[in-house]
Amino acid sequence: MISDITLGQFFPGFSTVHRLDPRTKILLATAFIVCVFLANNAVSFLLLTLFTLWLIPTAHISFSVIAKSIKPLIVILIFTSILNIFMTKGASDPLVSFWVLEIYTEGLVRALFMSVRVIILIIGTSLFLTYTTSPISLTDGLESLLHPLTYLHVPVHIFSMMMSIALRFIPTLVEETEKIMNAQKSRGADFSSGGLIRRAKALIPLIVPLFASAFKRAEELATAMECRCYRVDKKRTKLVKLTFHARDVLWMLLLVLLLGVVIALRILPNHVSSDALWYRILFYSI
Amino acid sequence: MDKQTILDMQHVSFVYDSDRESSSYSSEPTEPPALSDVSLTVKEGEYVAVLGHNGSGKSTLAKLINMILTPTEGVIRLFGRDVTTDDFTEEDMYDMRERVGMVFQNPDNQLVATVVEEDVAFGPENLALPREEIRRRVHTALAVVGMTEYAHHAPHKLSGGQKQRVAIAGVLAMKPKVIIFDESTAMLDPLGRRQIVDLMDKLNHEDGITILHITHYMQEAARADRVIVMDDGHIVLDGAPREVFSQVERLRDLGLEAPQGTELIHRLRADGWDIADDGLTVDACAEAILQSLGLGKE
Repeated sequence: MISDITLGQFFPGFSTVHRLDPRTKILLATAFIVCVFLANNAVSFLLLTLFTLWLIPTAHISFSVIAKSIKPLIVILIFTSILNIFMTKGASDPLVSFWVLEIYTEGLVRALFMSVRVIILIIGTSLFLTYTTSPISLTDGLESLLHPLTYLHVPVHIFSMMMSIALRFIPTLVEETEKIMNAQKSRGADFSSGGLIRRAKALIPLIVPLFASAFKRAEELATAMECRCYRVDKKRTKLVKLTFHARDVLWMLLLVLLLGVVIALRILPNHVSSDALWYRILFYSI
Repeated sequence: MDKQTILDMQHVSFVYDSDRESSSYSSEPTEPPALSDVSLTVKEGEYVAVLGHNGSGKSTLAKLINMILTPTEGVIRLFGRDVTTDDFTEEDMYDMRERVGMVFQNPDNQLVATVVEEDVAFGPENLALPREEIRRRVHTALAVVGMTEYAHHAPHKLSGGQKQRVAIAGVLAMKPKVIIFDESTAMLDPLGRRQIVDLMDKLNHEDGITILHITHYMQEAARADRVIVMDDGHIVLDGAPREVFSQVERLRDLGLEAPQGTELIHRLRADGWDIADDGLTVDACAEAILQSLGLGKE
């Protein structure tokens, strides 16, 4: 059944991470992304990796889910790693050298860092956002965070209303797609055989009625909303109020600490966090 | 004391596309009016059913009352205020919409939020009511329609009848004086339909809400206090269900059929039976037949 699809893979639950305010989670995810991109040495990466590994059970997400989310990345990771390994020229002598190919320490390090960076970036942000936050509360959080922009006449509320209506109608339209598909199949439409072009063409009798009905729905919905006194330009109140709790503050402090450490490791004098030193510890000891 | 007149329409006509896009349609003949010279008065607390086959203008009537459309000609007064004059502002319009709720045909296309409770809150949110008040209204509205246990469900997982009940709760949360049901039962299964009609009865009898039920199901219309039959943009019959449904031939001419029980009694009477013809429900008709056979319970 295609109606089983969910947007962005939300896993409902009651973990500490689930219960955080959506605004907090958006901020945490942003801070985490900054950390990952600022990290430029092995200690930082080690720290971030450990943090991510700790975050997975904390958010009550199983490791197999994480593995599945990483799977599609593997090909890209291997490809870019190979490029990094062979294309990076180092200052010292190559580690291995055969035919025209040379492998330098720097290349290996760069490939490793890049892979770790991508992997923890994906895992970390999905743990904070999509896995533990329902799309609708994500929208609410975003609206609340972007609220200051209304003073610059950015129609934040309209965007969030559009978002939530889109989310509301995804299941309805999926159901409708199924119905139309069955109706067309019963009249002999074939959606699954033939080449790419033929299959794309077969979708036309599916898409046209779907759009027609979507426009009709939109019009009816607009009328219904107007009848319930909805006005774009008027101030509304909200039933659900987002509130920060102690845990939100705690998590933010944690991420600020992490960010601080990463920044410190980046700007500290070379002899402490010297990349070269850490390369040696990491690679020459193996 | 007289009840307040809620709706007063005088010689109202409406033509679709009469001014809109007139240039592009100028070559085509003008459309026949969807509504012509309709006059109608509804008093507070009435339970009115509007009947008519497709294209008889009954939905146009609903849209005019709720100011989605403005009449081409004539005057519409809501709660004593003329909505067709220029000094009837947008502010006034939303004020009226707060008092006149509307439930549409397709339950899917009137639910806005992804959670039942938030959808019910949508109207009060638009009125910018304080949060505690919204919470109270949502709670009461869901209790009235019997959907309290579904407050945190996603609307798309509910059945048609349940969705429609949520839609009604959404309207009730605005505390309306009048609710217009625009074929709200047409897309439901028999069970869902019965639930909605029962709810209409309850809202009218217990909460005193004026109900305008637009439908093409005779049995549903029979439960109202007053039935209006529309044909070709005109009001052709207007009276108590008993009076209206006893005109079986007239109804048939209009493309409508009287409830089956009434139809049966009408034919029996035509054959010379002596039966009271004031029954509308199946049970009442059965009782009337038993009476005439001398088998009635007395």
